Order: sequence, then structure tokens, then C-alpha cells
Amino acid sequence: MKKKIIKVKNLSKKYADLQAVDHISFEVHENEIFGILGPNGAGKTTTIEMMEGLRTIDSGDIKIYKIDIDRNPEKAKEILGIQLQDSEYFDYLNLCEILKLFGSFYSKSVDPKEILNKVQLSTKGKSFVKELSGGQKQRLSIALTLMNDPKILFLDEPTTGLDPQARRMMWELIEKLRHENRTIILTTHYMEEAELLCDRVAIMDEGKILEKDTPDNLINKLLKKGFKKDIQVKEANLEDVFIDLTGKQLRD
Amino acid sequence: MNILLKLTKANIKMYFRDRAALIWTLFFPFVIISIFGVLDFAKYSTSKIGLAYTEETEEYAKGVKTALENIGDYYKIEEGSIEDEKKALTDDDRLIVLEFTTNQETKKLDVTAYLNKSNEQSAQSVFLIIQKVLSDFELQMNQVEPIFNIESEVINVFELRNIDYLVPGVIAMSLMQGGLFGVVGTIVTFREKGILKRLFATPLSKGNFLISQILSRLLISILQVIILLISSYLVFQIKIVGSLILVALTAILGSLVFLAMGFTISGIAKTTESARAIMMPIQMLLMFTSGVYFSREVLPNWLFDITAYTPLTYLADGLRDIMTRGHNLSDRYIQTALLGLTIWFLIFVAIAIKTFKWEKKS
Repeated sequence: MKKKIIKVKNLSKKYADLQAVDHISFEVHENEIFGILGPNGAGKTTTIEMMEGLRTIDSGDIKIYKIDIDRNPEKAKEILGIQLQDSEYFDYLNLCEILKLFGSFYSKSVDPKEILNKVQLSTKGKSFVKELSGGQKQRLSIALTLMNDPKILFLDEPTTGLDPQARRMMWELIEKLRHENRTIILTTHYMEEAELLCDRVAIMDEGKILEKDTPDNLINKLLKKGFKKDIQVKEANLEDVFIDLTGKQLRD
Repeated sequence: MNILLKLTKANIKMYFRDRAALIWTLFFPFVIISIFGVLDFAKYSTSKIGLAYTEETEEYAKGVKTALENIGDYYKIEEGSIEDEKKALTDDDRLIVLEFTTNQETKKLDVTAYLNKSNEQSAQSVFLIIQKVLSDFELQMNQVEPIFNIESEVINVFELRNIDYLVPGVIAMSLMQGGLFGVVGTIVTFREKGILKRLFATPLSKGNFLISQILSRLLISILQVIILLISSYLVFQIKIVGSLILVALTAILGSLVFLAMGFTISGIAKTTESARAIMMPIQMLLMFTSGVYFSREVLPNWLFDITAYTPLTYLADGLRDIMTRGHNLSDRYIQTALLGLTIWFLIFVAIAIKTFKWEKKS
């Protein structure tokens, strides 16, 4: 049994008359990729922003490494790697300078060059954000989460809006980060992404967790109920054709 | 401390890489100084005197002309037919027109003066000079010794040139723009783009962030003032009579007022666009009513009274009194200016604390 490093109990959050998160509980194991899935407005972002200490909670309890996040958001920020959904960065600082600046906010930080190398942006150190492609921007935002060498990473829709090549590259990067002994909490709209990357997923809708298990178990459960797909699935799909034709290597 | 320094350094670096901001805060004010410094708006009213005479009266007319020219080159003398001169007067191109004629019955010399109503005061004083010149003629011709011997002496006073007036005003204006645009360009834009949210997902404290913003803006303001002073000195030889330290202190206080005003506006406005929409008219209004380009004395009385209390008036007048008249802290006007700025600062800080939002409103 793996160590449970994040424990969420009965977590709730209400905005005006919208119950964004409705008494959810789950745990995240060490070194796993945990996916939070759900349609827009399901409460995914609210959930992880509460876990990151960016939002106060109405009721419930979040513990990361036994730290009570709602009471010690500052402590959480020191040890977590946080990537936010579509955030932008400074226009007039180059990548190296942005990374260095973010690094200076932590009590210890890693070398920006090393991080740029890891996210395959080593040639872009002197570039400005506006010169980056969508995939490169997303990799920069991953790079920024790594400046304090965190053991736990929160990635909020890291592949939304990316082309197939850039998405595959992001998947490889996320796998690589897990192999460096990190625990990753990921939100996504893409089911094939969750199936490929996540060890376990929680499926949310209207603020509630409907199911949480490994993707395999969830699929088997559905099949046991006698589920049959309408169309016979072929061994390949259109995305495979696209990647086969245009190549897997990244276009930046 | 380390974080504060690094953030401040990064802010200043970003400022210098932002060409638009550089042009608006450093280059544009100096262009304004140059344009207004080269043109002399004080000379908009005419100082021409028209003389119209006949053959018989020519001698007297020329005498008056010489007498006027002897006073100095304040007035330009034009000669012409009475019709042309009167036409020029109604076109506001003559201060006064003098018609020299001979009265056919009395054979006396008639001098008729036509005074420009739009500038009656000057016209009246020219008329007095002419009366004096004519009575001197009379005394001479009648060979009467004058009783009085009048002498005059010109006393040197501090001559406030147009440019000397202008430079402190433009410095005040650029401090205002720097403060307002500085806050909106960083804090509102950062908030809108989600940069603030990302920054505060790190251990960076809001206090450190704010202090570094204010610190870097103040450093930039001081630099702005220094550059404007040096360039105006090199190009226009402006004189600074007062204490440079007091100039710096007033500039910093003024900069703080407009930073606080920027925070107030960015609390009310949701986006960079709407913040600019609020800022622009306020800025324009202040710029033209606070004695930046021209003295507030040209304003109608009610506006003159109200605009004495604007933050830009306090800043421009304060800087001007120190720079051109050498006033110091013991001077009543400086005290008023500094007190006024402090009160504005407190007002804006109070509103900003109430309205300011770190997070994007959704």
C-alpha cells in the first residue's frame, strides 16, 4: 500500500448560490498521477485551488504531508508546484529572468538553465514570452512550477488548446516528472489523456465526485454492466493518422 | 530583503524595456518642454502702435515716434493712412491708433487716439506716454522750464522666463503620468492577465510585492526628474534657485500621491482598458487646470479658486516655488503645497484600501 500524502475530507465551497464543491473526499498516493476529470464548471479548478492554498475553504479538511492547508497556505506554497489554468507572464522579462525571479521567492531554488533543459526550452532562455508558441508557453508554465523542486505538482489543464504534437510532448514531460519521484494532480477534459497518464482518477460533476478508481477498474465496471460501444472501434483513430502523417516530433 | 531588491530590479528592467512607457514618461515631457519653450505664448497680444498723419502734422507725429522708440523696443510703430490703421485696429492688430490732424478753424493740432478694447489697459498706458510726449513738446515750444526733474531706474528682479515656469509644471505632469500609468500598467494588467494570481501561488508576500512596486516607481520618478532637469538645463539653461533636496522630496511626495491615485482607480476599474478610460479625462483635466503649461490666472475666477486644491496644482506650484523662487520649508506656500499633497495622499490611500482588489473579478 502506497503512502497517502494528500488527504481531502468533506471539502465544500459555495459561491453565492452555487455549490461549487459539495462535500468531496479523496486521497492522493505518493508518486502517482491523480486525475480530476469533469466537464467545465464541475468544480475541478475550485478543488485544486483550495488544495493549493489559493482559496479558502467553507468546510472540510485538506492535509498535505499533515500540513493543514487552509490554516497554513504559506507553508503549502513553499513546498507545492502550482500551475494555473491559462495564466500569462511578464512581457518584458526573458524566460531565464522570469524563472530566476520566481526562484527567488522560495527559500531554496534550482538553476533556471537546468529547468529550461528539462522542459526542452534550453534555446529559449533569452526569448520573451510573446515569442513562444502555445506548447512552449505551456512548458514554461511547467518549468515555473519546478523552480522550488517540489515533490507535489498541481497541473490545471496543462494540455488544453495544444496541437497533437505539443500534447504528446506534454504527456512525455509529465511522465518524466513522475519518474523523478513527484506526485502529480492533474485536471483535464481529455479522457484519452487521463487513461494514458493517470494511475487513478476522480470524476466530478456539479461539485460532487461521482467515481474514483483506476481508469482500468472504472472501464471494467462499466463493461460488467453490459455496456457496448455503438461503433466497432478500429485499431487506430484519426489522431493516429494525423501523427503518422505529420510526425511525432515537436514543431515549435 | 533579497526578494524586495530582486523584484525592484526586475520592475525597473521591465520599465526600461517597455518603449511606450519610456516615450511617455521620459521623452514626451521633454518634447513638451521644447515646444513650449521655443514658442513664446506671452506675445500673443499685439503691441503695435499705428500713426496716421497729414503733411502739416508729420513733424509732430515723427517726434512722438522717436519718443516712443526711445523708451525701448516694447512697441512696434506702424505708419499708414487713417483708414488702413483703423482697419488694422478693428482686426486687433493695433494696440492704439493715433490720428494727427490740423483743426481748420483753430489751426491747432488735433490728436485723436483710438484704443483697442481687448487690451485696454496697455492701450491706456501708451496713451499716457503719448500725452506726456506731447506736453513735453508744448513746454519746449513755449520755452518753459519744467518744475520737476524725474529720473527712473530699472531694478533687477528675478525674471521668470516662460521656460522657467514650464519645467517644474512638466515635471509635475510627468510624475502624475508615471504614477498613474505605473500602477495601471503593472498592477491592473498583471491582475487581468492572471500574473498576480500566479505570483501569489508562490511564497511571495503581498507586502513585498507592493513595496517593490512603490520603490521601483519612486526610483523611476527620481530618475525622470533628474533627466528632465539636466536636459532642460543643457538645452534651455534653466536656473534652479532652491534646494535640490527639497525638489526631490516634493517630487517623491507628489509621486506617492499619484501612485495612490493609481491604486484608487485600479480598485474601481476592472480592466486595463476601463482604468485608462477613467484615467485619461482626469489626467487631461488636471493637466490644463493645474498651471502646468500656463498660469492658472487665465482661468475664470470660480475655476481658479477650485483648481487651487488639485494635487497637480500643489505639486506644480510647490516645485515651481522651490526651483524658480528658492522658497524653502519655512515658506508659507511650500508648507501649503506639502500639506495639500499629504492630505491628497491620505485620501487616496484610504479609498484604495477600501476598493483595491488583488483578484480579478469574475
